[in-house]
Amino acid sequence: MKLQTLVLREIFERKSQLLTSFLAILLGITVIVSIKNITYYSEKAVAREMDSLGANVLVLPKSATLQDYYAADMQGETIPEEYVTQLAMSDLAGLDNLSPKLSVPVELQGKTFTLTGILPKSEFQAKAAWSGAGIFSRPIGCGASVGMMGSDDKKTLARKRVIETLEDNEVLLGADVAAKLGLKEADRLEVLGRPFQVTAVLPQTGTVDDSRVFAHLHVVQDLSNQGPVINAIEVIGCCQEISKGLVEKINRLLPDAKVVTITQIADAQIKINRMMSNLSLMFLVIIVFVGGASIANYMYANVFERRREIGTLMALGAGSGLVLRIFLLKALILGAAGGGGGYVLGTVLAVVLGPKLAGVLVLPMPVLALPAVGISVALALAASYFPARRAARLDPCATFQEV
Amino acid sequence: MTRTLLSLGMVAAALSATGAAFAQSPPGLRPAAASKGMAAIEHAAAGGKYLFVFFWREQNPQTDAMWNVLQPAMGKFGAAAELVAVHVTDPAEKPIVTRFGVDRSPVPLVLALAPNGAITKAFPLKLDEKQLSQAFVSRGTAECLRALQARKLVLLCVQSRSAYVRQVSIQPGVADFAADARFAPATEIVSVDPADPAEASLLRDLQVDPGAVGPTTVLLAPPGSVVGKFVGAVSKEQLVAALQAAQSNPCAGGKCGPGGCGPKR
Repeated sequence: MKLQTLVLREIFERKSQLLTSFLAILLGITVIVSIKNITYYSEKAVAREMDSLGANVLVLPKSATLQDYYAADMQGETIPEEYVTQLAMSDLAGLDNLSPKLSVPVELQGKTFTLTGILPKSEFQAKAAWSGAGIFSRPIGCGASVGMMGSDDKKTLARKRVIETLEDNEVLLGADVAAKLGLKEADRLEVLGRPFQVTAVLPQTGTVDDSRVFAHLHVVQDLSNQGPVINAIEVIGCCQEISKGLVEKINRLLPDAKVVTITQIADAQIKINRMMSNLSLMFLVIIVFVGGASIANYMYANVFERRREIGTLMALGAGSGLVLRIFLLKALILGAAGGGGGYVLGTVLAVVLGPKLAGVLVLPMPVLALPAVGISVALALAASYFPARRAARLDPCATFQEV
Repeated sequence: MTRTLLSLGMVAAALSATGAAFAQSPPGLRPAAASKGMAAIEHAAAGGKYLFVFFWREQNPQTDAMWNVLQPAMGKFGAAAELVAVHVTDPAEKPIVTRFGVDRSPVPLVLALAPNGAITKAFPLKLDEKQLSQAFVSRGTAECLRALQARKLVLLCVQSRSAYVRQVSIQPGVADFAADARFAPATEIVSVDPADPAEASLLRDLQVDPGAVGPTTVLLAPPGSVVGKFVGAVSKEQLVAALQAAQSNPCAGGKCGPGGCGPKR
């Protein structure tokens, strides 16, 4: 009989005990793999957000909470629109691109979307020049973008988050809105009883912006009877260096508003990721203790129950090395199966639950397979070593005396 | 008592500013009339004077404080400036309120208008006398501001005037750019003499050496960004290239340091 056959028969001899040990190791690896996978993609999403948004600053009502940068203007509380003018007219550097927003829910063809009022740059840029001659000595080109006359591509709203011009009868549609309503550029759309023309369908962003209908801020204020108020002001593309001091300066200028940077919002997400990472480490420690104890216990019981068979095998000429190999090979198979299974199950869980739990798209990470199997095998071998050594040191005579 | 005096002061200022009888009666009793503010703008422009437009909504300590700074300062400015008070909820003042978008601006607000119509300074909610004097700018600055506030590009030509001919000859590159159909409707050429002491402040802000040999051309984009600076002769292609570079890169010429500036593309 070959070694492999002996091991396979040994494995399936005590199925229930085997299953318990296998499950301990499988579930432990599953949890670690899924947490690692989700954490990785969540961190990537935060990094991407930071990259695409630069050093943006948000001006919000005092009572607003911070969870999602893109949905910061959807919390209902408002601030006066005059804050925009106050910012535009101030001497503060780094306020070249402002994007005030007012969002209200709307129902279109039986589906609920968000109607977001935005103020085109043309409406407040002149007021920025009201700060007088001092405007010429500001840092050159810092965060400012120059709109070439006649080349106002409205689709850049998705990327730049600022638009140069927007007429009262124009709307821009998020990608999801256009897809769900079957609308394209130049189509007509009625929102809250007022007809609009679709000027552009914005490219997919993977954020709540995809479910928005963008119109002129003053039109949205009129349609929602809210008066000259806004939910948030986004200050876009200012320098990292400027934004550090900018928050304090805006706070002094607008004491009744809450001023935060994208970094602060990202920090909250990073903290969650760090917590997930620590949780994953904690699971690793638990699996080492629980899984290892379970395997060791299973192996000790196995050696004890099979001591007569081991004695017989040794009496027939099998050496200690062979007995040691039988038990270690068994542990190796158990560890590899648990690790491999745990990786597959963990990956499936991460891919399915990731978008729901963390709001990010999660893809399989083959790079985790090797560590998962490695940890599992190492754990199984370490836990089985002493029981296997005990089996290898059994005295055949002593075992036969018990018969 | 103070408030009564304030109201009287506003009326007096309005009268002295426009030189016409613009009585400040309650909105409900006043017959439909032309905007006092708009008339004051025309009057000041015709006289080549600066105009301080004081927008107010209600009398409160903030309004009083601003007015109490503004009124005595006007005495010091003498004939150089005029003052008009505009009540933003007065239906007759709708044209001026709409023109400057004051209905969505913080009030009280003081706007300083140069004789050419450019707003040379805005003072929302508070001001002091020292700040008021900053509203007086050079001719070149006022022309640049007017064009930028109209969302136009400015080609600022810094070149000495001929000792014999008081006419400035525009560089061919600048003239070509301004004549290009793509830029012509939204471009304005402003020329200043580097020897003019009144323009020293503007040149200092733009970091242009007034003693430089030959002309210097500065391309400005709204609201006041320096898109390009060219010492010596400049071609239309160079100006277009500078404009395109500024359009594609928010940090063009910027000195934001490490860490980047603006969203990555």
